[in-house]
Amino acid sequence: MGKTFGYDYTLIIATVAILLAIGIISLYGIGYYHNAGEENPSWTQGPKHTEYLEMMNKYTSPTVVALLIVLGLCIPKRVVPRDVLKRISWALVGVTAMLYFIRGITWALGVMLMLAIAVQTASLVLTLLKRGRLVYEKEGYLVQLGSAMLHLGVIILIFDVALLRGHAQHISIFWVAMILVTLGMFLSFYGRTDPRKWLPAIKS
Amino acid sequence: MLGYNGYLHARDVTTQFGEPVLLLAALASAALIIASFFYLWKGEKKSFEHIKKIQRANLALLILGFLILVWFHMKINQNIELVNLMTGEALGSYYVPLWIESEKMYFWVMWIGVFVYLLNRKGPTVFAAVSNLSFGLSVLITNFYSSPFKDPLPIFHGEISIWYTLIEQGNSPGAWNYTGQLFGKMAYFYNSTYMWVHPPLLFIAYASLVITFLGSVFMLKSKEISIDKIAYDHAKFGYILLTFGFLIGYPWAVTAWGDAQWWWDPKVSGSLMMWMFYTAYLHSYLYVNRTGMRRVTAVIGIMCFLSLVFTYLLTYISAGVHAYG
Repeated sequence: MGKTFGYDYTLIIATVAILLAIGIISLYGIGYYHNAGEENPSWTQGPKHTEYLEMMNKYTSPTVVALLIVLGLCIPKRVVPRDVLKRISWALVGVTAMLYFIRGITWALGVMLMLAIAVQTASLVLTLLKRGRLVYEKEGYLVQLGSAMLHLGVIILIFDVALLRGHAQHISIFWVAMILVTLGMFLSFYGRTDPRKWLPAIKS
Repeated sequence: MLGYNGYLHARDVTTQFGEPVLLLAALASAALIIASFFYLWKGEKKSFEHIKKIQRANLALLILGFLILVWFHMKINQNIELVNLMTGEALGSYYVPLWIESEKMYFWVMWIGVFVYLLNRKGPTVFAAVSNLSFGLSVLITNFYSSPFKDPLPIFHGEISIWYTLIEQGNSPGAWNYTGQLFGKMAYFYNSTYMWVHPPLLFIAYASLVITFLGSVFMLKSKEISIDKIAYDHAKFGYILLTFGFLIGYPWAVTAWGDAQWWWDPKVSGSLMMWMFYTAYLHSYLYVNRTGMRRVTAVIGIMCFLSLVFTYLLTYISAGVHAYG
């Protein structure tokens, strides 16, 4: 139990740190945009704006990859034994790094996201069927289902926004991800709440 | 003049009736602040009943003010119709959302009032008194710095007044071009479904997250599980609305602004930062009972709210596609 707690706790700490890092990078972007606008109000019409967009994408890419790795270690622990998962994760990091140097970040991210979607979909299906050796932070069928939907939705969202912009189905996929995220969030937060709580009290 | 006089009359009536209502709400807020201080000082449960009554009256006044705004917006819809000046063809009427320009802050504060009202129903606590005090302060700030009644919808008023002036002057080419600009803004901004869904969701979320912020400040000071839970419950509710509100804006942004220009715009970056911080808070809270995590969670909760206020202000202080005006 103690070991399990330590593993999950470490993953949560890593997740929090990565999320805060993305927030701080965004803050840096705000400062950069503001200063550039002060120097030249029409800077967004020139090449400097494109450089800025590329810079921000470059800075956030490693944190998104890190987030996916953590998600990859966190979510599938419900499906496969932890030792196997660790080996798979290291292999995934290795393959992603190799793809990054051979084909670039788009390919590396794409492969990683597709694998993450596949694993997370398996997680969701197993949760739906109440099968597998699933372990969640919070117990309760609806809460577990919500958590699986939420994380699958987030990964599809990243995949869609990062790699499918301009694709004919971009917005349709976005809506699917949005429904998964919102519904998953609702179930995850309120899945354990007794619905009678919302009904008016009956006086005997 | 195509309903301009009717519109001006409605605007005057809005100021005439709305200003006293907001002033009364501000007076009630001053009383609420005093009553809250008194409760915090003496701790008498009986005096909390006064807080509840004043807060209810205050909220009722804000809702009354909101109904005046609803009436004003209906009058805009009934009186002003954009017309193609060459052909006389009607281009459409305005459906101006109730949470733009100086109405934003008012709408936000009214919802803070709703959450504080629900909190008061749970009973007298120091936390509830501090929440009432914060609500009172926010109404006072709205009254002095962001009254929607003092100069109702100044930007919209400026736009529409120029159009009527051009028509009156018989400046046909100018009026023709300007009508095109107004029609674009009417279709993609004022009358867009997105403007009726995206901002109110965010402002209701912001109001809920004010309670989370207060709870986080309390978390730093003392260990009270009930306050932690209130903060977390409000964070969950606010986070759902925040996420849904952000996401629903995306398809609209792609349609209205295209693909590249608005990426990493200050408001978009600020919203992303805020969302990341709140996601971090919710994750951190899962282990709030671990050594040191209580303080970490509280600090993240405070950071979240600072990022929220900063993101709200970005519309006014920074350039970009969301810039005010």
